[in-house]
Order: sequence, then structure tokens, then C-alpha cells
Amino acid sequence: MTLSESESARTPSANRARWDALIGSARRRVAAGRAVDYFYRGALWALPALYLLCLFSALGLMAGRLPIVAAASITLLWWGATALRFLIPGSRRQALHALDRNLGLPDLALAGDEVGTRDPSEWGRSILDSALERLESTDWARDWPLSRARPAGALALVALPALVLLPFVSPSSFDADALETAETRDRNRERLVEMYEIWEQAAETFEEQWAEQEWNAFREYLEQAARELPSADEDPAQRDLLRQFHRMETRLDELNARLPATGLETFAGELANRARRMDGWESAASALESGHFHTASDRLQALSRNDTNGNSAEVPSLSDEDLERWEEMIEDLREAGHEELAEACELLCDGLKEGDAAKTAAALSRLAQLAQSEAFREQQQAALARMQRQLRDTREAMARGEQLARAEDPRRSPAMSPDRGDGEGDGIGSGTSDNPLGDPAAWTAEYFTETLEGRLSDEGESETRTISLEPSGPEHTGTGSTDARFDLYEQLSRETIDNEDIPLAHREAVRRYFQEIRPGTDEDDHD
Amino acid sequence: MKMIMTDRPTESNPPLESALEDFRNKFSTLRDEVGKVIVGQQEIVDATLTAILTGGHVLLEGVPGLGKTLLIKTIAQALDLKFSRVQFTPDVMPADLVGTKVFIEEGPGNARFEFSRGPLFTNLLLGDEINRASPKTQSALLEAMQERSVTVTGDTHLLDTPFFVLATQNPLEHEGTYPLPEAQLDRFLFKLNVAYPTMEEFENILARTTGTAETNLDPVFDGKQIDAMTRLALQVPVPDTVRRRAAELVMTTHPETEYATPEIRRCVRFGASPRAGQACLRAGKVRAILRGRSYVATEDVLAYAVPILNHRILLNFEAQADGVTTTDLLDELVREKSREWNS
Repeated sequence: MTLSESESARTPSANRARWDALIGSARRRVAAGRAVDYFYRGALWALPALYLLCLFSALGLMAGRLPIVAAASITLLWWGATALRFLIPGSRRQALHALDRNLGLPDLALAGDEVGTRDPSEWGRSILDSALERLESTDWARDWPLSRARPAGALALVALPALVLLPFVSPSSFDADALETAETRDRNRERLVEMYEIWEQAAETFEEQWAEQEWNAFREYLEQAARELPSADEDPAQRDLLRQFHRMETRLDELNARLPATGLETFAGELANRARRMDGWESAASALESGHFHTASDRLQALSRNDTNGNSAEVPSLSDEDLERWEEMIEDLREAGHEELAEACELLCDGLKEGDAAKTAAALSRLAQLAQSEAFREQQQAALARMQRQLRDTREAMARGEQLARAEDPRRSPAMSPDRGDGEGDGIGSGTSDNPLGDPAAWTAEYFTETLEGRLSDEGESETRTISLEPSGPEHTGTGSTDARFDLYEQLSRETIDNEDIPLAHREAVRRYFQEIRPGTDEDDHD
Repeated sequence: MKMIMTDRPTESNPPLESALEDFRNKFSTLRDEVGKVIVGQQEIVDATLTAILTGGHVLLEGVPGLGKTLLIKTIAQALDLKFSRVQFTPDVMPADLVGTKVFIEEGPGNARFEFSRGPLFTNLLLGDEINRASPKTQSALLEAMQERSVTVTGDTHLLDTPFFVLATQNPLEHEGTYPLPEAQLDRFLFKLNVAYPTMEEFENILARTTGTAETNLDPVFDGKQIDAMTRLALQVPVPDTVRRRAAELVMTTHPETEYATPEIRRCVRFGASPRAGQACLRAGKVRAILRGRSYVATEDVLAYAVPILNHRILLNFEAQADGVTTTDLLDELVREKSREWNS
């Protein structure tokens, strides 16, 4: 667009047109400058960051190099955000502000818009001339837009080789340097060996009860991991071992998912609702509803024996409404894929409808078996979850370079116990919580009395905490009691160490003492 | 990457550009002339000369011996203006400044009262230690500073133009002093705090003032030229946005307004008067010309914000108890506004 000089100097409208042309040119220039700027920043910053992310993902090292990954991600996000920011449409005023900032023209764009285009006098023309002169000056053309991109580009050029080499030279957070001393490494090695020994024993104990094929697969992984345990000359915190741990966790997940489901876990409530309407079946229904499948199995078995004796008079009658509800549930079971449970219910339904004690007894027996299977599945799930958690804790501790906790025997959990309950109360299935001793708060309140006394004397304040260990509740088993007392004492010692000003060496001595006397550390304890 | 601009005029604006260039040259000459005597204190010199070209009065505050009086005397010498000096003391009366009517007997039966002009009838008045004058005398300056006239027994007498009051005061001594009332403080365009010279400047001062050499200053220009420069500066256009920012800056000092910052709300009792906004733009216009601009930019408004506002806002008791100073408060305000308007 070309305006004659005389025209541009005389009329505001001509000034406006001239100014618009000027601003249009400047905007195009800013856009071109931004393109160059993004080329530098994008090609030399974002692309290496993307390369790093892809490389780390391919190597499976994302978790080990979180700071680097975070830095690369932030770079990418920043680049993306700045690139997209200009897609937001702005008002003319904002655009002029942006021009002012980007072109290094303090308020010149504003003055041009607000004065130069309205004021036909010498002042308005002078402002427009200043803007034009500035935008066409050699200095400005040289400085903009490369002045912004040049430092960024130079910095990026220096950083590029560093970014590319980073994956190969960056210290791993789980290598030998992360483990502070050789003593810690030795101790961790012992812990690992100890953990696998305990697991070996646990495997032998549970082998008969677990599905043979699944357990053998799991044993294979255990043995493989044991074979890959580092020798004394090697660093135990090896990347391969951590990967092996991770694979084992995944495998445990798969095992857990493949444990055969009977359908009782989902449909126990509905089954209990229907069974409760039968005379004499209330206790079995109650056990089913509360999820105590061992107890439910016993009670269903007892009902089955009762019917097997031929006492057909005791077969409860089934109303039409009940029959309809049973059939609905059987359909739901089939839709959910629990064919075995559906067949047992169907047989039961037929037996009740026909008053056939033998058929009813057979159906009750099959339901009892299914309840037994469900109870056992729960045990297996709990055991797997416990092992998985132990693996995960160990792997994470190794990755952080921390000292490993002493391995815990999974057989000590009630959920893992091969012995069944006594048939009363919650039974064995209730012990699936993480704490093998049950709720510690309730347990402490029931069995121990704790008093806290304060005294003020000339020697200063003192505090006495008295724990009465005389059991005020029912007697508990020897192992549980020892464990409980040990945990309590250890907790008290830890609290005291935390709260009192005790020399470091003494703290360590107390901690070692409790490690030495921890029950279950001696293999004889388990025999 | 270079763009081709097709609408560039073949020549710029000679009359205006030459006038602005002449303005800058004169200012530079004046500053150089003052610099022959005054060592350092460049910001103070620039601000004082800016105030003169704006037609405003200046209050210089500083401990004794920093060259406040010398600066004003030097400026007076460099300008071909009538100069008066009044050393204020508690017994100086208004009539000593304004003048009085004297009885003149020209013969038997022929006598008259004639107005004898006081030192106010000058172009440049140096009011030394102005805070030693009594409030009555200080208030005699009010009309002169704002209206450029004095009224004596009902007769109004116009002062000479241009008319500037360049006053000094010592912040250390409180005995026998009368703090200037807010109404009078408001009439000063700038209140400049004269700082102690740097080591290098101090050495230079010692070298210049301990020998026999005397510096004779040549008058650079006269009152008419100052008037012309002042009129030229007043013509500098102000973009709407910049004018709005000047108003916002002043409104920000008012704790009761929505513009006030939390710190202003906490520390300020009364904000600046509208004269502060006028002063920001008038001083900004002079500064714009000196920076080679034909419009007032935001930085011109902010440049003299502290000397314009620091004697126009009143701190509350809480701020005084906390040791908050007006200068600190305004420095922070200017930084904040600069960030806000440049972001």
C-alpha cells in the first residue's frame, strides 16, 4: 500500500490508513520473528526433549530418572503452550501492546494508534514518522527478530549434545552410588537371600493347596529370581534384578486375575436372601451373606447330610414367588458366566420344587463345595497380594537406595494359614487384612492398660509411661501374643527414641536390639 | 527477513523536529553549564531543570553541605533571570517577602503610599531553609506559587514571569522549624532528596573548591526562551492510555479507592491531589522531548513519580510505627506499576 506524502500528512483518515499499513507490516514481521524463534526453540529444545522421552520409554527407565523426564516434559509443554498462545484471538489494544513489547517500541504503537492516527498536526505525523523510522532502521532490522532467538539458539546448541549424551552418562538412582556404604549393600544382600529362603519355604507349605499349574509357574519365577541373585562380588542393586522383580509383580497380578471365580463373591448376598426364606437354612444364609465361606460350606454340608438321611419332611417348601426369584437368579448367574453355581442352584431349585430330599442334598453338597472353593480362592488372593506388596516394597526400597526391610514370612498371616478355623465366628477368611494381628487399636485397648504420669521435682520434669501387660481380655495364642508384645515394645522404643534426646549410637543400639530379638527371624521359630 | 515498507515519507517534519532538537540542545547546554560548578547529583540537576521547564517549583531536602543552595544559585547564574534569595528565619514576616506600601512625602500636602516590591518579585526565588519560616510567612507564598501574583491591601500585583521557587530544607533539625503545611507542599512540583555524593564525586568537589580557581558561568538563555520551551513541552501529545495510567497512578495512592494496593491501604492515610497527576504529565512531556520522543510514554510518567508523590501522600500511624517511609512505599508502587504496564 502506497500513500502519497502530502496526503499522509494532511488528513487523519490518511494517517489512519498509513498507520494500519505500518502495523500490518510490523505484525507480519513479528510473526516471521516468532517463526524463527520457534524454529530455534522447537528444533533445538523440544525435539531433543522428545527424543529423551522416547528413548527413556523404550528403555523402560522412566521411573528411575524422574527429574530428567520431568524437565523434558516441562520443556515440551512450555514449547507447546507458547506456540498455541497466539491462537487466542486478541483485541486490537492487546495486539498493540504485544507489538510494543515484541518490537522494542515503548508505547510507540499505542501513541501511533491513539494520537498519530487522529492528530493531523505535526505531532501526529512526527509520531508516525518515528514508528516508521524505527521499524526500518538498520539496528532494529538487525536486532529483531534474531536477537531473541540467537541466545536461545546458542544455549540450545550447547545443551543439545548434553541432552543426547544424558541417558548414557546420567547416574542411575539405584546404582551402587545410591547405596551409601558397603555395609548397607551387604545387609541388603542378606535381606534378599533371606527373603527368597522364606519364600521357598512358603512355597513348599502351600504347594498342595494351590492350583498346581499356577503355583508351578510362580515357582519358576521364584527360582529364576533366586538364580539371578547377585554373588557376593556383585552389586545387588542391579537393574536386571529390579526388572525381574517388576516382572514377578506383574506375574502375581496375572495369577491373581486367573484364580477361578465361583460367582459366590458376587452372588452370595442374593443366594443368602433366597436361602433365608427356607426353614432351617437361616444360619447357612447368614454365613453366606457375611462372606464367611468356610462356615457357610460347613453349614451347607450339614444341611446336605440331613437331607441325605432321607428325611424328606424337612425339605422346605418353595412358593411360586420364591421359585420365580430363584429362576431369575439362575439366569443372572448364567449371564455372568458362573455355570457351575447356576447348575447347583438349578438342581437345588428342582429338589425344593419336587420335595426331593436326595436332589436337594446333592445340590447343597455342590454349593458347599463351591463355598469351600471360594474361601480358598480368597486365601490365595490374600497370599498373592501379600507377596506382591512385599516385592513392590523391596523393589522400591532398592530403587531409592534405602536399606531393605526384613522379609516377612507370608505364612504368618492368618489369610495364608493352611489350617481352617473352628467353624464358629468369622473363620479363617476374615484374616485378609494387611495386619496379621487384626485391628491394632482395638487389640491394644482390650489387652493392655496404659497410664501416663507426670512429676515435677527439683531435678526437673519427668514423665512415666506405664504399660500393664496383664491380659484383661481373653487369652490369645502364644505366637500372636509374642508378636503383639514385640510390636508394642518396639513401637514404644521407637517413640522414645524419636521424642528424647538420645545419642545416635544409643539409638542404633536400641534399633539393633529389637532387630535381633524380633520373633520369627530364627528359622527354628517356624518349625 | 527484512520487510519492505512502501509508505515511508521522503522527508520528516523539519519545523517540529528542529524545535525539539533545539529544546534538547538548550537543555543539554544548560546542564553542562551547571555541571561546571555542581559535581555529580546529575539526577537532582536534571529534575530541577525539568521542573523549571515545566514551570514548577522545587523543594530540595538534604542535610547541610550537600550543595542545595549552590545548585540553585548556579542555575540562576546559568539562566539570565532575576534572582532573589531569602534566608528564612522565624522572624521573617510576610511583608518581608511580598513587600509593603511605604509612605512617601513629596512636599507639603503632597504625599502618597507607594508599593515597595519584596524579593518575591523576581524570576527565581531561592527560599533557603524554608521550614524555618513561621506558618504565617509560609502561607504568604501560597498565592505567589500557585497564582503567580500577590495581593497587598486589596491590590493584586502580578509577579514576573517566569517565576520559580526553589526552596531548601534540612530534615535533621527540628528545633525552631515549622513543617510546611500540606497545601504548600502540594504546590511544589518535586520534592527532591539530595543524597550524599559518592567517593569519586567527593574527591572532585574537594579538588574544585579548595583552590583559587573561580568558575564564571555564562547565561545560557533567558526567561522568554524558557517560556517558549515550556509552551513547546506542553504541546507534546499524550496517548489516552498513558493519560489513564497517570490518573491510575495517582488514584492508587488513595487507600479508599479500588486502585489502591494492599500496602497502600495499610500504610497511607491520604493520597495525592490531582496536582500530582498534572505534574506527572507535565514533567513527562519534558522528559519525552529530552528522550527524543514526540509523545509521552509510560516510562515518562513513572520516571518522576517518586519526587512528585512523596510529599503529597500522608502516612498513617501504623506505617510510621512500622518505620515505613514514603520513598520505599512509592518505589515499590512504581516497580509494581512498571511490571503491570510492561507485561
